[in-house]
Amino acid sequence: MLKSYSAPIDPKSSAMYNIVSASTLPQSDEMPKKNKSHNKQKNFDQGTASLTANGLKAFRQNDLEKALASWEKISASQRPVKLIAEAHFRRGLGLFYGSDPQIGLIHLQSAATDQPQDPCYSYHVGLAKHRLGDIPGALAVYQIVRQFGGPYAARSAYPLALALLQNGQDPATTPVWSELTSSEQSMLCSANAFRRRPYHLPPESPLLWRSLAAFDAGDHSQAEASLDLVSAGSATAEEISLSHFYRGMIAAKTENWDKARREWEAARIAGLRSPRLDSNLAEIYHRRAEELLLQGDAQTALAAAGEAKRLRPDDKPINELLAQIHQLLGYRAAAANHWEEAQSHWETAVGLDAASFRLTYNLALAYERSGSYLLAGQTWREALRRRPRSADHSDALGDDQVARLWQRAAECYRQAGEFEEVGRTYQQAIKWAPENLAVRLALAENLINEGRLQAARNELDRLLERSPNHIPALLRLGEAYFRDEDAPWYIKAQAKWCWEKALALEPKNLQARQLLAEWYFDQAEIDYSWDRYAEAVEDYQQALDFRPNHLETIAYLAECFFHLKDEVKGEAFSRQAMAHAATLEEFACIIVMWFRIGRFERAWETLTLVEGRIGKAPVDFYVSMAFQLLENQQKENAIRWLQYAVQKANPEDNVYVMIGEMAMNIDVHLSMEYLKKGLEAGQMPGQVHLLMAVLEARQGNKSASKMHLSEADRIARRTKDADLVERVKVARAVTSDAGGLLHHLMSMGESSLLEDLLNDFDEEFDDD
Amino acid sequence: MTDHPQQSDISNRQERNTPTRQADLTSADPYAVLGLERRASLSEVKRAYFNLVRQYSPETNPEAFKLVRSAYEKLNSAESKTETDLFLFQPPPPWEARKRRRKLELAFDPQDIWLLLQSHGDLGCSSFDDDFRPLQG
Repeated sequence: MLKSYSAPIDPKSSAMYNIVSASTLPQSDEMPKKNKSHNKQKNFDQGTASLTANGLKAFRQNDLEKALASWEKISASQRPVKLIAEAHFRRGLGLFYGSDPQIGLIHLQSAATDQPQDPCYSYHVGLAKHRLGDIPGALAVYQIVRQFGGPYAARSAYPLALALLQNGQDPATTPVWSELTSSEQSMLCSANAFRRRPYHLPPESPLLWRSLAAFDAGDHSQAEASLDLVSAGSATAEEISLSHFYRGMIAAKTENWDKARREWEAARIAGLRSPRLDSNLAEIYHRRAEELLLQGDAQTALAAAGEAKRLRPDDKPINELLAQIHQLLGYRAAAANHWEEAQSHWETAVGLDAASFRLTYNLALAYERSGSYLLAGQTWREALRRRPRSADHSDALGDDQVARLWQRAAECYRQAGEFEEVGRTYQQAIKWAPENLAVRLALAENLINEGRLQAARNELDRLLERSPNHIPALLRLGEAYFRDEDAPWYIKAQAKWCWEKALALEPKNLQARQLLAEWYFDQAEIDYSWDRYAEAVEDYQQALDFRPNHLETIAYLAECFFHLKDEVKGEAFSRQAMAHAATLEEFACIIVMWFRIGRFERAWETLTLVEGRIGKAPVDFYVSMAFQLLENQQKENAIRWLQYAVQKANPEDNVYVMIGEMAMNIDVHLSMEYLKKGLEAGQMPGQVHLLMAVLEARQGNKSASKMHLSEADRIARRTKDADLVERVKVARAVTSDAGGLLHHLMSMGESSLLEDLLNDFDEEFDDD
Repeated sequence: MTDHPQQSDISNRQERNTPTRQADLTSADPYAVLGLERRASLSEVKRAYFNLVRQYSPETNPEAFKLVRSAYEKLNSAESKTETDLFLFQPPPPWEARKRRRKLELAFDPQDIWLLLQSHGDLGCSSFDDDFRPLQG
């Protein structure tokens, strides 16, 4: 609520102070925001007495905001008005002479409004207004204070007389004059001379004032000599600061910029706060920074421009200069391969609102270097937005260059995993260079990676309209057909046509051959799965034509011939497979082929040949072969392989535990058998007990499970195996009951999983 | 950009016989590594490269040679040079000093006298603890 001041003045009225009540004070950080409903509830809960006491406690602790907040909750008739006024007064003084004079004044005014009969509060409102330059406002308040009489009336005599003088009146003609000391009268008399130029000061005037009058009269040597004497004599801090300021003025008039800067800095250090000083000093630093920049000394220029900005933070030309210096330093840092430093300079320049095409372009390069691809993509986009549109501009880009920059942005987005943006930016690139087939191809590849196969096919069709024999496009188009799981067979069959065309155009194209091999292999597998071995043989052979010596294909061919009772060809292909096999994975293909057709002895013979060729295989090779058999219900044969694995294993392989663990989900008894063997052999006992506990729990043997868990826990603690301790804890929770699992998930902070579960539950039972 | 040769008629430029500046092998700018200005032509690039290879041969100075070679590969064909030029960090545009400087305020202002007078008595004070009222309640 804003109450406006109006004359005549009533010393007991509160309406005179341009009052803004405390409830309308701005909510600064220091003034906590009120939650109305919360406060309302609290008002119901808390009585006047407790609020008063709380406020008092806060007041004593000098937490005046809290004290005021407590007291203002009390109903108007019961509020401790004097305390509230005193709290506003103290808060007001603190802020006025501290961080925020304007808010401080509002608090002082609140104190004076709450206690209008106390001249102390009014007097301080007057002083505050005076210091803020509101001379008429101060005059009005001083005159009210004078009417109260007493000590504050006496204290207001000098401020009132000064305010009258500042207001263009002669205080010597008013009653207050007689209450001033002789020294105050002398000062004001001398000051009165400054009301009209030329200034004729009485000889008893302070030396500083006479210096200033000489300065104003243009007698700079006289002024400077007198100002030197002021500094050398017993002057006050204010006088010394002012003498430095005017010595700086004299130096500036003779363009002695270094001296002017030194004197003005000395004036600031001595405490002078003046907009003119800041403005002049900022200008000096600005000019110095410009000169240094032109001389090539960017580092020193940066310091000078920084000083200028400190004094005039929002000055556009200073910010432009500073941004230029940062751009230059960034460029130099980049040239020296100091990209982090370059990035920091360029970011600062952008922060100075100086973003330009070149700057954002450089920054995008820096982001790429630091691996910040999302930022790089966004910054390339910004650079493109800021590119000069006029063809005459020195930075003008041709359409192809614009397209290339969009393409670069797309590549950054792809690195950042922002695939939607990749598509959009490639589209932009195509817009600028519709005939650039590489860009169209890149867009299509992105669409394929995104799984948008129809869109990819459309894009590739457009590309092929422009260039029907574009081999990479044909290959990608084939992929876009082949990978479409939902497409009918006749659509997928287009893949073959695309790849065959590519191969016809370039018969040695390896990628086309590879893709066609995959096509035929895929077709063969379909026939194989339906036991149509004759048809499968044709497709496998086609695949082999395109990908000769492909072990898996050869092994399948052998298998198909055995199924077709063509032993000769089956043997021939199996021999061919053995001849070409070089790695364990390739030998595994052949062994598994023997398993599939139930020729276990041939598999065993193959193993002997493998060992003869490459020596002993790692133990997990034998175990994995055994598990191939186990999974195909060939336990007897599998046991033979497992025994062989045990025989071949080294102690550090912990082979029993390996087998026991792998068998857990296939054959519980086998798993238990091997885990027991592991325990007997002393292989990882803690781990074995843990696995046995899980197996027992799955079979419903709770007590046995608990026993194994206790044993695992004991071993884990004894061996200080923190990982095992944790796993035992998890196993205990999981094997106890469903509640235990839930408790465990909650204790792990698996909030997202739980949230999902609970959300599902909510959705399920929403209607209830 | 003017720094991009594809935008300027480099064929009309007078070719230099020697690099225009000292080679800076540690620079991120391949032209600087070869001791060239940004607008150097393909033949200038080639010449600078072979001059440097004599200085930093792969046998005597393999590390330096790698840097020189890497810079050369970025500029040794029209295609790679175009790509390098398009994605090469740029200096800021030349600085133009302000046309009009801000005027310094160098005249006497009587306000300074008032400020001095305001430093006298309570107006010059910032601590008023003696004016605090005693706490009641």
